[in-house]
Amino acid sequence: MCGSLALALTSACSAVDPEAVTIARCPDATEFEHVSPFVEASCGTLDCHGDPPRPMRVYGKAGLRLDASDISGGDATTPAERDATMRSLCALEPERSADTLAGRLAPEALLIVGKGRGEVEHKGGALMHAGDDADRCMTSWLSGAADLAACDRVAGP
Amino acid sequence: MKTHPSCPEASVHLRAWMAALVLAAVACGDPMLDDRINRLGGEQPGVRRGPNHRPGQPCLVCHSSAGDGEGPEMSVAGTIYQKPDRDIPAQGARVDITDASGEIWTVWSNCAGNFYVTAERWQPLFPLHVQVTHPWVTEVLPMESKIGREGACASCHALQAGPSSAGRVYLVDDPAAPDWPWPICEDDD
Repeated sequence: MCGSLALALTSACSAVDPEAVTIARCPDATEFEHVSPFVEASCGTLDCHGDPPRPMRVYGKAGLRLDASDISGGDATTPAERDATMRSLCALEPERSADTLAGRLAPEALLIVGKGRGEVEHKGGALMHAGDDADRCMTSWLSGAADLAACDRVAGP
Repeated sequence: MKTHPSCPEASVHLRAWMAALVLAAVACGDPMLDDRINRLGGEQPGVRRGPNHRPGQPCLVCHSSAGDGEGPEMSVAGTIYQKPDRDIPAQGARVDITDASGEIWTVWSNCAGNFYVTAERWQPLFPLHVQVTHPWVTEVLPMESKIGREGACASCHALQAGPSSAGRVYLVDDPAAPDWPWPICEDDD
């Protein structure tokens, strides 16, 4: 009885309707070139989100490298690394990120903003504050139109 | 916990599994930490356990509240070498650590290149910024990135640089520079 119930549940779960699948869009990849330096410097050290087991994984020159032949602290961040970082950020809450991009959800409701502001438990503390350049950079990018000037001001060295 | 009325044995099995999992967790401690400690290997021959032992290893794996409980609990600790590809310790390097509150703590490396701050003396507020100076090096050497949460330098600065390691902490970039004399640790065998 229990075996057949389990089988029935398994069958029901595996019957995915491809028409019902939602493709979660990420924010703009070109604009992320301006966002990435802040994310790398603030979040991507090897002991934080540059640590491979972490769900939100940040790649870059001073942190984790994507290519096994690169070394931390070596050559500049590559386009592939920026892309991998962006996908990692986007994959934290794909549906909610897509809702933010579509204007249905405020960026402040996303975990990445709550953690970054320190409003949600975050071992790294508050890295940005509502309305400052770092915050404007992140929330505007997540909303689909990055404030590039704000991003460039917090890009770091 | 609710169970399906026609599956009473499932409830019994589930409880047994949960009890076994709880027992296993209590009995084994932290298997990931145990694995990290085991992978550090044994002590170097001729080096006593103490401030000079295990240079280049991530000190806080053992020297933390979660560690093996032997020796002092440390908040920040690491090893400094002369060159990126040699094991010559940099004795007498000054390490200035600035925490998020602006407090600065200064320590010096010993004959093994090791330095440490005990948690009893200072528990810094992360992130930290670090710079190193040495009497034989003219410039101040600041760490390029901040330290977000990890007090053991070697966790990110493994001896070999790679995609997830910045390599050892060193003071002289030029491989052709003369080697410094190897310091003698007089309290070792």
